[in-house]
Amino acid sequence: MLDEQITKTIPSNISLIEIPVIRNKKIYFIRAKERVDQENKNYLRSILIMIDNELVTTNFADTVVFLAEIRKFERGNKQNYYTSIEHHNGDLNLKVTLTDGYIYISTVEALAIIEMHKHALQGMSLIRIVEDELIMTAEMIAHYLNENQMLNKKS
Amino acid sequence: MQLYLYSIGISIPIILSMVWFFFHTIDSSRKKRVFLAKDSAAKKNLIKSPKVIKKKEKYYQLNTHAIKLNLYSKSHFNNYIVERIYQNIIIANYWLNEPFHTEFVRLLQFVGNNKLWIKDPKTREIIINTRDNTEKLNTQISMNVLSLSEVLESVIFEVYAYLKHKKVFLKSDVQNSILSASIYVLIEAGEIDSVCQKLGIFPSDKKSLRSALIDIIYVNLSNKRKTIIDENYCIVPVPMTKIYAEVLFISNQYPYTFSRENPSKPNIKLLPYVPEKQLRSIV
Repeated sequence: MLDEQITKTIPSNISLIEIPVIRNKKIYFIRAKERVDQENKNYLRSILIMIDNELVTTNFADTVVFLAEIRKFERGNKQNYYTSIEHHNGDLNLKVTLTDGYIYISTVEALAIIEMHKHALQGMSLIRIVEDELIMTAEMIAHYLNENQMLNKKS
Repeated sequence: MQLYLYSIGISIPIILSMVWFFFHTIDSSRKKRVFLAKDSAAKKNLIKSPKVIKKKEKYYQLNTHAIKLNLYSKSHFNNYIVERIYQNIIIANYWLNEPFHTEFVRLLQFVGNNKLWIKDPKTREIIINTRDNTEKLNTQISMNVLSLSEVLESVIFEVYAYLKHKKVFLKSDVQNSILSASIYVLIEAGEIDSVCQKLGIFPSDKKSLRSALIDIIYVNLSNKRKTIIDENYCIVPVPMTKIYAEVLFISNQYPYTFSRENPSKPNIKLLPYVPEKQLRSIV
């Protein structure tokens, strides 16, 4: 019901941009950018994390939690929602469980993700991201993905 | 005395002249009658020139009212694309022969009432984890889909154009291959499993599904014709896979999402009762 009401008023000036973070593991940030022509300004409305063919987080709060789990990943915690630690041949590895399967992230890659997140926030106004975040339903996300040719097979 | 004689002297010539006049008129009228009789006989012998008979012109009312045909009502299709197929295939060709007309309408109604889709061959499935109002996580799948009615329209027109190009003009041949092509498209629907459940078919493979659908949708056709449709037999073989692939490449894509954990079963309406035909003008 709510989905239907929101999809009727999908803002048209928002575009999703794919930022590759770790290409080997197919980890991407997806930035929802709002372009306001009158002010000649870009606003950041949301940041999502995509791993392979799955959008793991679809709002900014979840994304922050995911990144915090990665930042403090050497300690580990049973309350962690997205990640868990696994030892393999004496190395610490972070296991991210997905709906279909899982992937492993090393310490260096975790650092790279956090580094990339800093860059992803640059060059945009962050005013609207905390108070006025764009709450996206699955229909809206599918609409934007289709608009930005991200639902096509990568050849 | 003198006066008396005088009056007699005047009256005698008057009486005489009157008598003469009387006899003269009788004689002249007789002569005239004889002359006229001669004249009419001469006129009868002459060749008559044809007389132009002027009749009063009659004005007939022009036959300007629209021709009415025994057709199905537009309101039963629920979909403007399906309505367009009916207009351009059945009405434009005057294919009103039974049982083809009713069977084709039953198929069109089934497609029009249920919003079926076909998975786009170029699409990528993306799983989306969203939170609802109660902060609960929902897993949904999004992908690009094609509208089945749009694909059906283009496939039917392509098959029709192909057969016209190959000069197959036999009505039954073209009709059979159109019925066969529409079943070919219907099988490719993304929700074909739930369609089968609703219709009460449990096929093991595509071939049995095809024959089962033909049995259910084209009820009134003869068994011989059903086998022809099943095998897609035509004098000029129709390259269905090629036509279908070409149509998929052109048609429009729409983003679509559906729940992964508990997919709400689509509201498939059973094959409705085909209504009675009515006299309808085609303008």
